[in-house]
Amino acid sequence: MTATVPRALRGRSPVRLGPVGRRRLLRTVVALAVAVVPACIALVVVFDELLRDAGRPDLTQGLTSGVVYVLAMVSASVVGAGLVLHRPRHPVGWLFLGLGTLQAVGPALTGYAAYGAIARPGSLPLATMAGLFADSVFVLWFVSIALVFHLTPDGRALSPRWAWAARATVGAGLLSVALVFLTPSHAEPPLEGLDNPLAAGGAVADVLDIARSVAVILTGAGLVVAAVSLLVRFRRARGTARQQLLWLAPAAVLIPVLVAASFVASYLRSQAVLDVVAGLFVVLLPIATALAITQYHLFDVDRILSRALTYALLTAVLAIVYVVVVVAVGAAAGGSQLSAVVATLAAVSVAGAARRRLQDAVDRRFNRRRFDAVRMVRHFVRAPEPGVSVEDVLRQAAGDPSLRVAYWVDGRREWVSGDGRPAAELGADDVVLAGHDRTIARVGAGPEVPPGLLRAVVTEARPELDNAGLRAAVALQLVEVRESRARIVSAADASRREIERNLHDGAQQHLVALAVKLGLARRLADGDTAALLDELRTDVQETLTQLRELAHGIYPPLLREHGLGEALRTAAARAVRPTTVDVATARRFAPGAEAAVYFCCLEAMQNAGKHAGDGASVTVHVGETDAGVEFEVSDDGAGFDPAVAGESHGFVNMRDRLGSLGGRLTVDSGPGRGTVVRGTLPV
Amino acid sequence: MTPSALAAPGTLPPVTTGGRVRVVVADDALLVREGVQRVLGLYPDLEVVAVAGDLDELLAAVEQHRPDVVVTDIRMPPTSSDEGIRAATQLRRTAPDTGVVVLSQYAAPGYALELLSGGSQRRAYLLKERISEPDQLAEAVREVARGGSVVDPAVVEVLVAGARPAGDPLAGLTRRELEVLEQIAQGKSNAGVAASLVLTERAVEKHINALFAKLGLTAEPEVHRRVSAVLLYLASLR
Repeated sequence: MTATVPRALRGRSPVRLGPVGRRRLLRTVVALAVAVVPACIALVVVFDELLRDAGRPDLTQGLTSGVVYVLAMVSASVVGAGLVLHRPRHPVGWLFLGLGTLQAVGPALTGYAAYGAIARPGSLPLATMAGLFADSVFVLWFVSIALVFHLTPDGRALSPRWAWAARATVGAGLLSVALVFLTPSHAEPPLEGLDNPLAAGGAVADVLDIARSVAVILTGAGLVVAAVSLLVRFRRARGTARQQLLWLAPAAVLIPVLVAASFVASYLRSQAVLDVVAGLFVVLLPIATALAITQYHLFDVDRILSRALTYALLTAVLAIVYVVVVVAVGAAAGGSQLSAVVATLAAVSVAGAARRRLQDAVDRRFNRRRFDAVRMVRHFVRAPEPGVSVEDVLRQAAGDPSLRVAYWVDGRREWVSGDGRPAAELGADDVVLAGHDRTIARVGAGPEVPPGLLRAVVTEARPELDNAGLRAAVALQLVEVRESRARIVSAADASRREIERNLHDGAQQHLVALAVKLGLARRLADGDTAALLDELRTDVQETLTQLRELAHGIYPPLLREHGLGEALRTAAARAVRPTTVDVATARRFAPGAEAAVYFCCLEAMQNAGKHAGDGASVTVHVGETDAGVEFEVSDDGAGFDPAVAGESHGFVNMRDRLGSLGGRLTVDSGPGRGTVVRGTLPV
Repeated sequence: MTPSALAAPGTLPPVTTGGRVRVVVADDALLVREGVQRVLGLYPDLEVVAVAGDLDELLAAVEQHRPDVVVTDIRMPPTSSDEGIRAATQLRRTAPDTGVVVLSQYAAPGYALELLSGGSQRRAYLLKERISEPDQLAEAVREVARGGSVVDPAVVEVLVAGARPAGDPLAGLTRRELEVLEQIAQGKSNAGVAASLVLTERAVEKHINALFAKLGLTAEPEVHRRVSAVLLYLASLR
C-alpha cells in the first residue's frame, strides 16, 4: 500500500503560480462568486420590504430558516473560495463555490418572482421564469452535493462506473430543471400562485410532468448513490485516505437520515425542522469536505468523531426509547404527563449503560491507541530530540521493539537500513511510504501491531523518515567507501603475503642453495681460491640476511602464526630505539585487524626511530577494550608539530588501514614532549 | 669441535647406532634438500636414510626408518606455515629418541621458543644459511643426536638485544657475561663457550656462576636444561 503525502506535513509548499494574469483572473472570479452571497441577502431583504409595502407580507421569506440558510451559503462560498484559491485544480472547491452561489441566488430570485410575478404582476422582466428557476434550484444543490461526494477527496470518481453514476445524476438534475420551464408550476410557497406561460397542455403536459418528477427522484437517488460511493470509498480506503474520508463519511451516512427527516417534516408540515436539519447539514458538509481535502489535523478527527458519534448514537437511542415509551404508555394510559415522566425515567435508566456500550463500539472503530501513537510521532516530528532516531520513536509508538525501517536508495535501487547496511527482505505486511516522485521507506512490524496504526504512524513520521532516508543513503556510501578501503587494504595485505611467500620459496631458497654450493666448493679449494669462496659465501649470507629482513618487513608470517605479541616483540628487537612491548591480550583477532595493528605500530616505531632522536625510548602497548583492540606507541623523544607533519605519508597509511576497518587514529605530539600514537579498532 | 671434546663435562655420551647418525632430510625445495644431503654426505659419521618433501612424507619416513635425527624445513606443505615445528612437537610423543634440527628463514625467537617449549632436549633451531657452513650443520646434527640443543646465534641475538626496558636485569651484566649468556643460550657447553670466546673453561664457569647469580637463576648442571632456563628467562624479558 502507499501512504500519500499528508499535505499538512508537507510544510507550506509554495503555490505554483501560473502567469500572473491567470492568477488575478482566478481571484477575481472567486471574489465575485463570494460577493454574490451578501448581494443576494440584501436583495431578499429589499424584496421583503417591497412585498410588505405592496400589502403582501404573506409572500415575504421570514428569517426563521433564513439564519441557517445564510450560514449554509456563507460556509459553502467561503470554503469553496478557500479551496479554489488553494487547489484551483480540485473540482470540489468550484462545486462549493457554485453551491454557495446557487443557495444565495435561490431566495433572491424567489423574492424577485414573488414581487414581480405575484404581488405586482408584470412589474419586473422574466419574473415568472426567475420564480420557476428558483423553485427548482434545490435540484442543483443535490447535484452539487452528489458530485462533491463522488469527487472527494482526490478530485476523481471512484471508478469509471461510479463516474457514470455521477454523470447520470448531473443529467437528471439538468433535465428536471429544464422541464420546470415546460410544465405547469408546482411551486412551493411563497410562489404557489405562479403560473407558467410556457407550460404545454393536455397529454403532453402530463407526460412531461411525470418525466420531471422522475428526473427529480432520479437526482435524489443519484445523491444517495453518491453517498454510497463515498461510503464504499471509505471502506476500501487505508491509511491517510481513510482518515480524510472520516470527515465525510458521517455526512454521507446522514443523507438517508436527511431524506427520512424530509419525509417526516413534510408529513408533520414542519418546514422549520427540515430547514434546520437540512441547513445544518449543508453548513457542515463544506467544512468537513474542506478538512478532508486539505487533510487539516487529519488525526485529531479520530478522537473528535469518536466522541461525537458516541453522543449522536446515544441521543438517537434515548430518543427512540422516549418515543416508544411515550407512544406505548400514551396508548395505555392516555395521560400525556404520566407518559412523559415514565419515558424520561426509562430514557435515563438506559443512558449510562448505553453510553458505555456505544463508546466501546465506537472505540473499536476509532481507536485510541492509534491516536496516541500518532500524537507521539507528530510531537517528535515537530521537535526531534537529539540522540533519538525516528526508528526509536516508531518502535515506541507502535509498541513493537522489533519494528524495523528500511530506506529506499533510489540511485542504487536497493533497500538499506538506517546505518547504510543492506536491509532485510521485504516483509509481506511491510508498510511502504512513497513520496510523489520516489519511494521513501518501508516499515515492518510484528503481527501484534494493527496495520492501520502502523500506516498512520509511518505517514505521520514521513518528514523524519525522509531525512533518515537521506542519511541512510549517505551512510550507505560511507559503508561502501569503508568496504572498498578495506578491500584495498586487504588486497595489499594479500599481495604482501604473496610477495613474502615468493621471496621465501624463490630467491631465499636459491640463495641458500647457492651458499651451500659455495660452502662445498670452499672445502674442495685451498689458498686464495678458498679465501675468495669464503668471502663469496659471506656475501651470500649477508644478502640472505637482508632479504630475510625485507621479507619480514613485507609480511611477517610470525603474525599469522603467533599473533601480535610475538610479532611486535620481534619487530621491537630489530628497532633502532630501545623499545618495550607490552601486549596485554593473548586473544587472536581477525587477520585484517591484526595486520592493521601490527603495521600501524611498526610504522609508528619506525617514525620514532627516524625522528625521536638519540636517547629516546619507545613503548608499545596493545590491549583489549570493550569496543575492540587498542594500541599506543609512545616515545619520549623530540616530538613534532602535528600541524606541520601530522599528515605525513605514514599517518595517512595508518589512518587508511584503521579507517578501512572502522577504527580511528590519534596523534598527540608537540616539540619537546615526545609523541603518542593511539589507535582503536572495533573487532 | 673434535670428537674428543664430545666427552667433555656437561655433555652427554653420543647415542649412535653402529657409530653412524641416521638422518631424514625434509624440505619442499629440491635445491635445499640436495644441498643438505650433499653437506651431510661429507661426513662419514652421518648417513641420510630418507628424504621427504612435506609433513606427511616426513612423518611416514620417521615411522619407517626410525632415524636418530630429522633435519627439516620449518615451512612445508600442506599449509606452508610451521610444519617443521609441528613435526617436532609430534615426534616428542611418537619418537622421543629422534632429534630434530629445524631449518628456518626466520630469525624470530617466537619459532625457536615454540620449538623448545616442550623441552630443549634433542632440538635445534638453525637459520637456513648455516647449511652453507657444513661443519656447523654437522655439529648441530651430532649435538641433537647426543641429546643436546642448539639455537642459532642470530636468534639469540634478537632475544638478548630485544626488549631492553628500564630496569632490565641484563643491564646489570658485564659485557663479557652478556657474551657468555648468548653462548649458553645457543646451546653450547662450557667447553664450547670457552672455545668460541677464547677463554679458559674455568673463566667461563666463573662468568656463568656470576651471571646466573645476578639473574637469580640456579646454575643448571645439564647443558640442555641450562639452555631452556636461559631461553625462558630471556623470553620472559620481552
